[in-house]
Amino acid sequence: MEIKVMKRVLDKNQDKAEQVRSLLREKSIKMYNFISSPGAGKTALLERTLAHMNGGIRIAIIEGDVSTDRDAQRLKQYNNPIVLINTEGGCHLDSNSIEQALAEFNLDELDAVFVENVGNLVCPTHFDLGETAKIALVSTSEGDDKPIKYPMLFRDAEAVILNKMDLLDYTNFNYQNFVKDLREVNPNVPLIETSCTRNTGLEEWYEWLRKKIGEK
Amino acid sequence: MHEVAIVEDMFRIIMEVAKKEQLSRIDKVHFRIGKMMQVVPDLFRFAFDSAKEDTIAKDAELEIEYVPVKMQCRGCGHEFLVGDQSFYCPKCESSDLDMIQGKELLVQSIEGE
Ligand SMILES: [Zn+2]
Repeated sequence: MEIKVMKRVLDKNQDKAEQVRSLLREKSIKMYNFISSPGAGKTALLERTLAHMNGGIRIAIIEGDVSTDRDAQRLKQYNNPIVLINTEGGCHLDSNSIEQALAEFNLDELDAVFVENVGNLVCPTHFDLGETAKIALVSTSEGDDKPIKYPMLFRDAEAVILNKMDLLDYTNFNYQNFVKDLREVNPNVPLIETSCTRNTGLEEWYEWLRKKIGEK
Repeated sequence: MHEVAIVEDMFRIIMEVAKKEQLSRIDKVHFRIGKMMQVVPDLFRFAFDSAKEDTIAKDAELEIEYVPVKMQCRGCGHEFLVGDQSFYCPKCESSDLDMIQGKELLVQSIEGE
């Protein structure tokens, strides 16, 4: 016999994400979910941002890592509250682990939470963490076809950061194609071009962030 | 590899249903996947075949229905299918769109005894 089920998969993650979202709203905390391939420069961007914001905006970090705490170690020197979630091979963070991580912070003393998701452009996109917004990070050393290959992420993202701009001339990254493809997928998303090693473009990113975190 | 997580959750759902309906065997699972969810069919089937081992679904077939991405224009109300990832309204060229279809991950039905 055939039994009608009509049940959505991953609903539990979604429900939990909504709970996290309302908790953060109640505490007036913005949470950003940083998604990129491995090596695109997420940790470097967070390092720069924490150093720059130093106390001005109170930021906590949730660091998702597949197996090591290397990125968390890099971020520890900034004295921001930090929780490491080791996914033990899992390809994404989920809302349940975020809820547990948030419980370790004093939420009354925070303006923002940055989640460094596992390095991967597909899986993290499909698991709502309850974040305020997703930030997509790509680098010029990865190839320019990312927006077309991963349209869901680039549609969902509230800002796109193109990092390693200093390497543009040394790669086969086609900047025009990248921008054209990104605009096909998401015509209006801000594109912020940075080099975390050369410290360029970051002012624009900080500006964006300050504005967003200040919004009610 | 979110395929594995999706299949795990699918099995949680179908086993609940099987228990409630007192099935001793699941023969078929009808599953609906939106194209926006970027499920790789081979990986998904592989995850399904791994998950079903040693369960009452061990001989079950997986029937997947793929749902194309459909948008509705907030400007002019036009509804259209997104073919080549171009997210513009073909009528008025607005980019202010709602996705009304394409994010499905749904257990539609199961067959069994
Ligand atoms: Zn239109």
